[in-house]
Amino acid sequence: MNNYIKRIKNEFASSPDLVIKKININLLHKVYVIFLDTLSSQDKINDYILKKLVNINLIFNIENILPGGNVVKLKKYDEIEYYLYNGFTIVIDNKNIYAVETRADIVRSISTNETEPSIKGPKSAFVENFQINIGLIKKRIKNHHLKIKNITIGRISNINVGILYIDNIAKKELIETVYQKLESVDIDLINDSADLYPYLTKKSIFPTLIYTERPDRCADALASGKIVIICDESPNAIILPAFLVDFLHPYSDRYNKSVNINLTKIIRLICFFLSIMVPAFYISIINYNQEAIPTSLIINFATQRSDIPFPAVIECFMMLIICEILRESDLRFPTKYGSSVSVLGALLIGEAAVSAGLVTPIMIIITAFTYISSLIFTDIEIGNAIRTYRFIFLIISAMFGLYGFMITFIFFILNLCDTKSFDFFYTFPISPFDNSYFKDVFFKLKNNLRSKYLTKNITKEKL
Amino acid sequence: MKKILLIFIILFLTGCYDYMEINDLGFITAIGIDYEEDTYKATFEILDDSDDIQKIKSESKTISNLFDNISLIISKVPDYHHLKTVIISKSVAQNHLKELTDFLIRSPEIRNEFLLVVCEGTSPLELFKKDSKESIGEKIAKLIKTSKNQTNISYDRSFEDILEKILNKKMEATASVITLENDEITLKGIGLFKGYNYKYFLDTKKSSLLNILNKENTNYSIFIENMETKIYESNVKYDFKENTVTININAKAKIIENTTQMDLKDNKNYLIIEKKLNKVLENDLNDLINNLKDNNIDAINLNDRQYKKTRKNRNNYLKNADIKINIDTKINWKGSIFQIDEN
Repeated sequence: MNNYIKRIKNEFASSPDLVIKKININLLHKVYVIFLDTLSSQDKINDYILKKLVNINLIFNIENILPGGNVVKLKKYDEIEYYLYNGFTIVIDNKNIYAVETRADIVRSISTNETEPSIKGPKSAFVENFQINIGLIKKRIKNHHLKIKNITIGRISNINVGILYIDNIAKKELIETVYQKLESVDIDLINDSADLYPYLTKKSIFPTLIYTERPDRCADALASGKIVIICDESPNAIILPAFLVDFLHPYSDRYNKSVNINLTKIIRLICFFLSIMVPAFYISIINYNQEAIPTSLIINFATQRSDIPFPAVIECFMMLIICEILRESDLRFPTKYGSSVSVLGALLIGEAAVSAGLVTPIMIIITAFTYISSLIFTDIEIGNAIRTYRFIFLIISAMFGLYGFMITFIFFILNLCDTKSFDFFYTFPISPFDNSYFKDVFFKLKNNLRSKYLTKNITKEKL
Repeated sequence: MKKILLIFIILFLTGCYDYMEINDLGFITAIGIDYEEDTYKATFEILDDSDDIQKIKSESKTISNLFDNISLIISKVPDYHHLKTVIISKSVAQNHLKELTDFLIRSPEIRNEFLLVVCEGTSPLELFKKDSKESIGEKIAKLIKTSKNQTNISYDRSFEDILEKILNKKMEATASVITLENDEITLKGIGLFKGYNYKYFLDTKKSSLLNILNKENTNYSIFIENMETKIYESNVKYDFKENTVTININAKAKIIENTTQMDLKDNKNYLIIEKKLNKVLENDLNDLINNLKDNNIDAINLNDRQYKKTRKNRNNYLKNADIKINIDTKINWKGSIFQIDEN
């Protein structure tokens, strides 16, 4: 036992928060209580350990004395570090080492989700605590088929990562693939579940994993045969596999009336393509294919452009880049400083730029329409993908006109069809077509079956 | 690395070859062409980023030089993709349409979607002399399109269609005819071509009848015994048996004006009116067909129709055929029924 204490003192020499308390049970029997002050709760240590040990003279089995709900007997010395850093108190009695859970509550309380707001439906969001996050999901899936596979990732961080799945719904091959990929992760530190992205996805412009802070979304994904990955110290969970349609429609659509929401879904689909292609289409017809514009409109455009010194392409790039700068500054700027940045940017782009003769009013309309269409999508990753493709379309159309536009469109469709999320086609449920997922997610229609593509257990209610 | 280099080379060495700034273009919306004293004369109506409509004159011995000469005058690149109307004089239509058509077909910049219009009684260049804020090309195009529904005396098809008929030996081409009356552009009727040569034009009544026979819109007024009626819908069918053609017309008519003493509440009177209408219409149609036969102009495309039905190649079918017309008119819009009391 003394060797253990010496080793602990050596290893944690520069940790001023390490507390080693020696309790003399009797003349012959000593027990050591070791904990990290910053991670453990003093109250719990007092209640579960110190008060119990101080009042006794003889101990036969220390496990029976410690009343804590989570008492683990450690098999080897090397596990001490892991449990100490997870808020456990180590009790060393002769050669027996026990870890008692006395975790301090240094997490924030469950709050409303900020990145996926909804008017109807649950508002709770994940926090930076693994157990609480698992609890939020288990409150929604009260079934023994919900399984969790735990992995510790990070050489320095040793963060606990859990793979959640419902074993009679999710495909076993998918579970195994995910587990193997996470087991092969060899990095120093994980701060958030987003750090696992490069290990779970291949290179693609479009996002192939859903990154969510909604427990209800995770529960729904598990029920449809998907897998959820929860990372300790991360308020976001990863859902996989993910498809394009999952990013186009927010999850809160589920809580709205289907007839009305289906129209909104159609508008979103149109906005997805418009947001990418409108600036490129405008440039190609203004500079290459003027015959495509009605005469009265083209005279109007020519009159507007008569005083502008820049070519239409430069004007378009300028406006899009200014809007990107505005968007980035709006995202990063602390909200406490107010939203004056957005107002300033809008003034700059609007009246002032047109009055100064730098841009045409039509270009302001095109840019505004493009950005308003892209703001419909709440997921930042799909917004970034849309932006990337917008610039690709613009560059090729600026060089080749409508011909270039069509070539880029073909490339865009091919890229979309070629993208995969864990060997599942990204364009699912359009291609391959699946009636159940189409009715569930693409449009909101009555559906009582799970998708055959994701699971073999397709029945979810009485037919 | 090689892929990136290849993409770079393709983009920067081959891109932007037909890039054109919109402000550098002059959009030509109408061309008026005349032929006088061995010279082609033309006026081009050009719209650009200025508020005024430019009218540029050009003269040349050849048609291609006629079009090229405007580049010596205007500072913009001529763009023909928005050409609405080409107005040709009678002399061009009669003697020089072939050269003009040849030039227009060969030019890749000029799409054949404009309207070809013949100007009778005045030179087409006179149409452009009046200062107006409205483009002449658009004005004439709208006039022809509107007339199709309102008066039915125009031929609202693009040059592409006229070309198809000229080049197809089984058909004869037609085109709208305009003139300048009291300083206003007025639609006169439909002009008839024999091959590349313009022959004459049909007045408003005959143009309307021609459109009926060609299964275009129907809008034909008949005035009988102080009553004005209008045929507003018709269904025309051609039956071919050897050299006999039977044209069956089921028409619907409406009473526009009634100043007779006829009791319009009595259904028997309608039978009398319908019989009279049938007779008048039959006579008018026979007049038109005889006119076409005399000039041997198959403006009702009888050759083509009979070939499509019988697959027998017969030339000059119109001249040799015996044409019978069966008309069945029904008045189904009687209007306000009342009697004018002369007391």
